Amino acid sequence: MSGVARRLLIASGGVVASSVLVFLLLRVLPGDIATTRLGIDATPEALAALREEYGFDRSLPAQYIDWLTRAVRGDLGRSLVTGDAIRNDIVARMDVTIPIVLLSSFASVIVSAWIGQRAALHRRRPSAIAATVLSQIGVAVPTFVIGVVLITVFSVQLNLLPAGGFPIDGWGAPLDAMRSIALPVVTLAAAQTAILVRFARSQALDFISSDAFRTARSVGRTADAALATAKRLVLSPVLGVTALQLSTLLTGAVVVESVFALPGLGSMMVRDIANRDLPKVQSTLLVVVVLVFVLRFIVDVVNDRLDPRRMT
Amino acid sequence: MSSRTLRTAATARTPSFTAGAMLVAIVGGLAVLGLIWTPHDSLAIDSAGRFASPSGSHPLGTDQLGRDVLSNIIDGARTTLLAGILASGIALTFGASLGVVAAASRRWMDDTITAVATVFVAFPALLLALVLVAARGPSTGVVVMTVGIAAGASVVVVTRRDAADILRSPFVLAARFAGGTTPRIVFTHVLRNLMPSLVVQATSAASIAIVAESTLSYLGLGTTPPTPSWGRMLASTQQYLLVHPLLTLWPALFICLTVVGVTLLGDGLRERLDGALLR
Repeated sequence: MSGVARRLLIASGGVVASSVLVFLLLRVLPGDIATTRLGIDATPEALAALREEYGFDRSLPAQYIDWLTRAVRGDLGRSLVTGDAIRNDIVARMDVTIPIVLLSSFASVIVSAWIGQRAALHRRRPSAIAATVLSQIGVAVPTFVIGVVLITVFSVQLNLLPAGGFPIDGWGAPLDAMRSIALPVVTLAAAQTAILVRFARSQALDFISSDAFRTARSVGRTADAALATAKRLVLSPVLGVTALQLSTLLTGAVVVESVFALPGLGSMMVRDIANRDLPKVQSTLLVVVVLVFVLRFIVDVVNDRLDPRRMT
Repeated sequence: MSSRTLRTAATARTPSFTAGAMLVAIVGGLAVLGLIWTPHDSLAIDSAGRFASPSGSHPLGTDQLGRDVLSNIIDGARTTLLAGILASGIALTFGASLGVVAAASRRWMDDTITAVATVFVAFPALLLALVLVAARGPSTGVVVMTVGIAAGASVVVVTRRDAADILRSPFVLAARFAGGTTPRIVFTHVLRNLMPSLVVQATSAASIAIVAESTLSYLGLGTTPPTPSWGRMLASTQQYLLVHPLLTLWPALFICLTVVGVTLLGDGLRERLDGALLR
């Protein structure tokens, strides 16, 4: 199927281009990583040893190719701070980040398509106007502020859900784990929904003013039933924007994991950035980039099935 | 645009513009006030007066180190607004000039600039800022520069499109027949007509920068102490949320007021200018 093949080609091209960008930004801009790590009064021997150990002494193209071929084989290098294998750290933290990202994007697509339809259908009702204004404001409010407000309401005032943290047993304690990611998922989904609602609404409005809708109404269908036949029409652009927004969504996960003190990829990256653990940041970003393009590929393929006109 | 259409635009009913302008004026007022006066020294620590409730001497109370919250809010306004203004300045300066150059130059130059800008548009400003902080260490400057460049990329794309439209319009053709050179036409006609769209884009760059500055400061990767920053205030008080929720909610409130204000101002400006062009 040529459509899927084309999407695959775009995705792999995107991964390669982004990996070059990440590599260049983190290897060229910081200057000498060994000095950053060991301080300016390190002995020349220690500096040389560190450079050799991490391969900083070789040419940039050689370093890049070496890094990428090792990564493909599953070796993401070792942390500059702890010396641990980066791969183990990343794998251990995936099972927090992946559920958050998947659940919140799923929720935001469904909820925003629904709100968008309702807001378009009953656009003069106060509730529809409120939804539109709220989404306009929601786009502006930073994600971490949404998170803190939700903690204040649901953890501090109502005492319903934990304000942060993750059970030590992880998913071994499924109920506790679900409770800990509930607020983070809602936070991320709320931020995402605010963006998506306006697309869903304008798409639904387009349909309502179309001939197809008028015909459906004139043969006796209710407005709801007529709109139900156009579910794909509303969902398709929402999915399209979601695909484009995936990198923003993962940046949002970085913020949300820090707000709720969750042991995920994002909070790990924040700590590594603060520690200037550049090889680790570089490899984590590579994994995130691959994740973005894999998810985008899936969303795009699903979307092509939903709306075959996109393929041409 | 004649002076009459401009006047109609200025009196058009745009509630978002009014609300946005008021919010921005409040925060701007705080930032200016902070230059000359704050109730207390925003850095002064008072270990005896920690977590004080709001009172006459401390209208918003004191924080976990006994610092006056209102003084920190006032001083933080400056950091926030400065980040917004500088980043939108950078975005406009290089975005508008590259966009106009792309529109006015030959095919290959145009394609190159557009292609590079499009790649940058795909990267969220916040992610780019995270990478650059990793490379260069945390500072307000790094955040402002990165957001300026990231937001500038979308300014390039929009400006190129608008400038190309203007360059194709009849009055530019007339100017060419009258002997106007390309640089002259760009400076006298194109830039003037780009102004409305550039003003709107400036507000969007500013709001991206304000969100990025507060988010990265919240994560401990932005503005470094002792410079006051609302994002860092929020982060440092979050652990007391159970007992002293107001300490966290004040900076959260002001961050929201600023970003929502700038966004509404931009939306309102767009509505006004669209209205003015339709008339």
